[in-house]
Amino acid sequence: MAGLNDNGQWIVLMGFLISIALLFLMVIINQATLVGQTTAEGVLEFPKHEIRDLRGEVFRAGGEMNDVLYDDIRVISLKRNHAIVSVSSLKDSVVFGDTTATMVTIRFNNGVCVYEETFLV
Amino acid sequence: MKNDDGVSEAIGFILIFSIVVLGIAIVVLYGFPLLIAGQGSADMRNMEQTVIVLQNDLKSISYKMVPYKETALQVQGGVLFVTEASGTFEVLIDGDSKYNSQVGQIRYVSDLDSTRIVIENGAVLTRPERGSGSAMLAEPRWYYDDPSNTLILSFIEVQTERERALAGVGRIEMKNDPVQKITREYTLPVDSLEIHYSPLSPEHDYSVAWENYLTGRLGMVQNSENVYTHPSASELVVQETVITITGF
Repeated sequence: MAGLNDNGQWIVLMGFLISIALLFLMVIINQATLVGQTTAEGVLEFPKHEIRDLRGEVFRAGGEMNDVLYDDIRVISLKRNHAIVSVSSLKDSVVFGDTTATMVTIRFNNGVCVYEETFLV
Repeated sequence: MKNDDGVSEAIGFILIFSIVVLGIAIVVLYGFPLLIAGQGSADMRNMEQTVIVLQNDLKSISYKMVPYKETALQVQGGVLFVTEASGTFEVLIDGDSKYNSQVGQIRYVSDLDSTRIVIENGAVLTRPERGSGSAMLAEPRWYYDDPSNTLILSFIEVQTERERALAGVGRIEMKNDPVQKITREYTLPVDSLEIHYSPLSPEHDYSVAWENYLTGRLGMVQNSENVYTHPSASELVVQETVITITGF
């Protein structure tokens, strides 16, 4: 091995390093599809529009909220969105000087997401 | 100077050639079965994903008022079946049957791997071909609402006018039947609810998976084998969606 020229050994070494790096990248890329799917599912499953619809209806009804309306909202949510919804309102419970406001608490649960909010109408 | 009188090119070639042939033989003998086994488990992983995609479609149809879904899919290394034969679910209140249905199955059976993956009642389940264990890969959307003590059971029934089987690339069409959609509400007297699960046969028994889900996730109590009750539910909602599968 006396006259052997070993100046090119670094090429072999780099080859090893690059292949190991590629292996790591492969593992990461493999995970990426899985992570992408879970994230997309999470976004799709989140009932944003359902909750907005419910809030909208409760705001629109305002102080006029009664048992019949509440029952309609509850049944429609159950049938269409597979969600349990409860709305409770305390009429004229908040007093600012000579104006009063109704405090409403809504609760939305569809098995994936539970949302609760209290506001004044 | 080295003396290389004894070096023969022919013998060197034979030596190197036999080493190469021996190497190839060892790879074919031991490596090939390993490769095939690896292919089997890769197929299984891919099909787990595919079946979860199908379950998502079923969920969209049942919970989001989607009328129709079409999915193109590739079934690798096995066959995907759609059948109306499956385990049966029954809901009883005070011993009185309120709901009873054989919910149907979408089942994947692999050629190389002895594991099966099925969608039964909106859940993705898996089990070995022989043996009694089973596990749930993706849950159905049954839930319990604490403040109102309401238990919601949703059943997803798969209907098909004939048994279907798919291998390779194909298309699955799922259609919601709005006429057959049921939403019923019941008030539960104390300790009156019973949920029964009866497996189709020992080869299609997913009792262990359902037991773990119902007792672990929903806080139900097992009265006897495959009979469950909920300790605190006072309202019950039973919802059923019938989905007709056509296509391939």
